[in-house]
Amino acid sequence: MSDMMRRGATAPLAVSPLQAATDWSELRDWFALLKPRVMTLVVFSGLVGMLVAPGHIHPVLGAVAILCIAVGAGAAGCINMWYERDIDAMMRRTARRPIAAGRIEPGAGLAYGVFLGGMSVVLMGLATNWAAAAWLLGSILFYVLIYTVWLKRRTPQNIVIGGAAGAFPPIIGWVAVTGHLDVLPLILFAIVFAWTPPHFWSLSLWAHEDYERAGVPMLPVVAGARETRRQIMLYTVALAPLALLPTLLGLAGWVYGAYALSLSAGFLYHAWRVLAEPQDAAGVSLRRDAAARGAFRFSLLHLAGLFGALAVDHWLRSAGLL
Amino acid sequence: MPQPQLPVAAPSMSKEEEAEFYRRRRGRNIGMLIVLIALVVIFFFITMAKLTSSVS
Repeated sequence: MSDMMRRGATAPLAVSPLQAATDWSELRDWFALLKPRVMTLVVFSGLVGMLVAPGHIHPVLGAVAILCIAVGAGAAGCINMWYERDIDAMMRRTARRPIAAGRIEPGAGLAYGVFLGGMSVVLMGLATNWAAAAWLLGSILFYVLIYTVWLKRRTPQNIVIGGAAGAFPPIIGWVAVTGHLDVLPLILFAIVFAWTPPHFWSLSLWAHEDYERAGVPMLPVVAGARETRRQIMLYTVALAPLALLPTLLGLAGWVYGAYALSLSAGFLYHAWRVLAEPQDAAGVSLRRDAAARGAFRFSLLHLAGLFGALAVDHWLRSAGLL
Repeated sequence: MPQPQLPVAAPSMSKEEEAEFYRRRRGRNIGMLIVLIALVVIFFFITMAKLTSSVS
């Protein structure tokens, strides 16, 4: 016989459902499922995609489009946390995530992600156009199916191909305004695409033990730290001309060009520091990965700086100041 | 006619777990209320923006 039945119909509950105090920490957990920190850069790059697009969008509809990009990205992150709850629980960096830590039930987390993802796509279609909604849906599916389900546990190229998922927002922002694709959003896509591997591999250099424990074939786990340092350098070299492409093609002015040049030089310097850092025979840092941590931090500044400079440059040119 | 009943916590829960159960559910319900109100407001503003755009 259960406790409830033993207590009988007259036994008082510990607390009445209507008297229960609110648990705000649970609301924080639901918000944390949307990976708010990742969302920041997604929102910013999507916003810049909208700002530099030719044409006009009603400010309210523009704000809704940005909200949809943010919520869509959050929904993809939420479904990712549902699928990866087993490996998240094994890694120090991710063990405290709400589903991995058991604070939110997996099925509820999945339903939440699917609901928000669906709502963001429908809202995007209603507020702007269905081409933008299709791009948003594509970005969510790419992150969930291609990166999370297919690539992440299978190949060290997971970050390279999966990086495309984070590169969609400028395209979505642009298409929300214009209704079609063009050269500049494709270049912005390529910039984020090439930026992602050195950004994540810098992180994985000092978090490789986590990935190893969870059986995730990140590059340092599969090919070693020395090869990872070389690949960070190669991708940073490839990223530099891509960052300058908008100015070289006349799609942005010299203000952006100057910023892109100096930020690329800074990122190359950090990549070189990662490559040349004192290391043992296997390439493992003798200085607690100080160079990789510096490169990771600079990569965030680099991408935000590039997109910020593009928006400022566009504003100066459209105001006739350049 | 059977009376509608509020869903209750699982029978095997202790009083503390039961209190925790209701606290967390209340937080979730408030979250759902916020989301629904936000959706109503968003749909209203989308409609207004679309209407004013088409008029102008």
